Amino acid sequence: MMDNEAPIIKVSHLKKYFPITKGIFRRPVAYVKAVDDISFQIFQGRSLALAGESGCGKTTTARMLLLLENPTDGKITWEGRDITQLSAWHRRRYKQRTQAVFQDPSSSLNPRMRVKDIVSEPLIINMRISKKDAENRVSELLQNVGLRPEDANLFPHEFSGGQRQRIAIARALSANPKMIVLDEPVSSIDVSMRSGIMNLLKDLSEEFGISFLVIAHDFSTIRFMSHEIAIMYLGHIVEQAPSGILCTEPLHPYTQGLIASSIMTKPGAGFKIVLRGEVGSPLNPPPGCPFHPRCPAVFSDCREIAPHFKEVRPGHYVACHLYTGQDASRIDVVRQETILKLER
Amino acid sequence: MALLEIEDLHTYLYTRWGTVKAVDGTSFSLERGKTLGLVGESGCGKSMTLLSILRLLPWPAGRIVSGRILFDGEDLVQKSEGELEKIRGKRIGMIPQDPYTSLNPVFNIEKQMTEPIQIHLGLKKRQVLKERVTEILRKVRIGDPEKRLECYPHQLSGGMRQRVVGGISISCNPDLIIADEPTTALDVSVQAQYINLIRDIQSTYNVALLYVSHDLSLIFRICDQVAVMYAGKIVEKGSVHEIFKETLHPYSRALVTSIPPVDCDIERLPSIPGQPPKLFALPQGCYFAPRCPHAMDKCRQAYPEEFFVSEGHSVSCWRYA
Repeated sequence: MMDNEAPIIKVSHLKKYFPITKGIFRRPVAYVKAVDDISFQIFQGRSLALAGESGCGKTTTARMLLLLENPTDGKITWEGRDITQLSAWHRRRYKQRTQAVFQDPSSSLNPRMRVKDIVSEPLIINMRISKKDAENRVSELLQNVGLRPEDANLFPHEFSGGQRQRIAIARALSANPKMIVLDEPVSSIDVSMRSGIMNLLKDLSEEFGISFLVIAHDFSTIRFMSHEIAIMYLGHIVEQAPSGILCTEPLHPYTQGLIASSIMTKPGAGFKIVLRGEVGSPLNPPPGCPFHPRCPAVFSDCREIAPHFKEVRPGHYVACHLYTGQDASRIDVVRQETILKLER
Repeated sequence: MALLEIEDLHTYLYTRWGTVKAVDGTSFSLERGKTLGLVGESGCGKSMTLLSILRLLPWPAGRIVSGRILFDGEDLVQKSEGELEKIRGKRIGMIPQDPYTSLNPVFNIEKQMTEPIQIHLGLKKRQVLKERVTEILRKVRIGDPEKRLECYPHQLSGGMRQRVVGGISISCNPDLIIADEPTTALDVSVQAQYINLIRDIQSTYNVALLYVSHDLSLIFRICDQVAVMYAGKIVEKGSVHEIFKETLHPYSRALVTSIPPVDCDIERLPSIPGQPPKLFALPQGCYFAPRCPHAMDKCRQAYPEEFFVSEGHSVSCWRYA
């Protein structure tokens, strides 16, 4: 389906270390390894989700894709070019093609601008179109996201949270992007309005062939929104698979713990599987596998050697020593054994 | 007799833009040692209900207009400020939403944890107090409690801070704990730990728990009783098993179905049109009627009464008349 197609974005061995400096010469004394050697690809019209808890590096990755942060090492390739080396013209074109929708629409929309100015700003900057054409385009965009064309003259505060997020989506759409980064697109929106926003985003992706990079921590959202999910932990991608497979047959103990806490089987039973401890610090990550201090199935190798990110089944990648060197038929057995260890 | 009984509570906010009927005729009761989950979206009046119970409404805008709040047989609405001070923090513990703002940054954990014990239980000796809070920190599963007492809030992680706040809420052996979305600021894996901790404490010490959240699936996990609130009124309430099995009110059903499942694929989500009503311009009839897919003529004329569909499961919807 997509093997013969080139990805629109290719991220390879991407790293971002933030230095912690000391003294008047700002000598770096340590590094926060926010993103540490991750690779993925995004294809036309397909969506990838980066999931994980706070501090896992998912937002830093998104910021690098949006050119808001320079990578320490590694490459982000777009149309055969490294995005950090783009000429001014290509840089502008890249920015036009890559848009973003942020978590909280009450802070990502300028309260002093009218909706029409918010939505048409990318148009005027990128496309140099006349004012009249811009106005027509704005009313078309507002209708696309389920608002009325008359709303163009209002200010953001006159809308509810869900409607504001629709304005943010219209703004992202206005420059005909190929990819939209959605950073927690529904988590600050009321439950009864979330489903409308999620349906809208999915429709737009299908209608205009836009790819999404979804950043979220909530599995019900990412399973619905994306074709593929990558789970991040302390700057590493620990597991990646098509969403259906990842949510039903997770391999990495961390993913298993997260998924188990988002599926409810019996009311009033609390949480059966609970991950111990808290996310470690990216300033001083544990040696070996970053997850080993919390892992119920930890053994000696995990404490010393960092596991490789390997394809253990077609399309299903995992970085965990439990699955290295295992025969394909054993994978499922190991998976179930790990779940039993988590339940204890 | 129930520990907490709220009867036809009306709490209004008098603002520049008009009177907001934040809580508009809410009734529910909570037995000793049980858990009740109050579910609703932002602005539905759930936090105002909590603040009414604690009598901590924003002054001067918020006022309890009518209704009774019976706590252990005594009406909190009639109490004087002095009497309330003996109840708040002692017999009713509170876990607020955000552990980052609910602890004072300039006092260490020991100071903040011993204060309520000093005030309410009259313990004075530093050593006695210290032993007591160390014990509480152990109860809320904080490792190395003696060392943590010296810490200031910024030295602890979010999960740990919320445990400290939880510890403060149980420090005077309350009969009731009120928790206002205590896990929204926490990470997913820490959230599961915290929820299990609250449940353990609640059942070990036989405390009643009033848990407020917008997340119905979370409420299903931890509570015995559920009450769903919409625009200041309770639209459905009952035991968790009843409501989980058969969610009746179109609004509560929408809350369940609008969250996509994790364990199977779906193409489209059922979604509720429109948005929650503005509380100072409520529609005539049922407040949910403008968004309801099943709305009938009757729904637009009169607000539905409470209909009992089975033992302890009631719903305010004309379809079940």
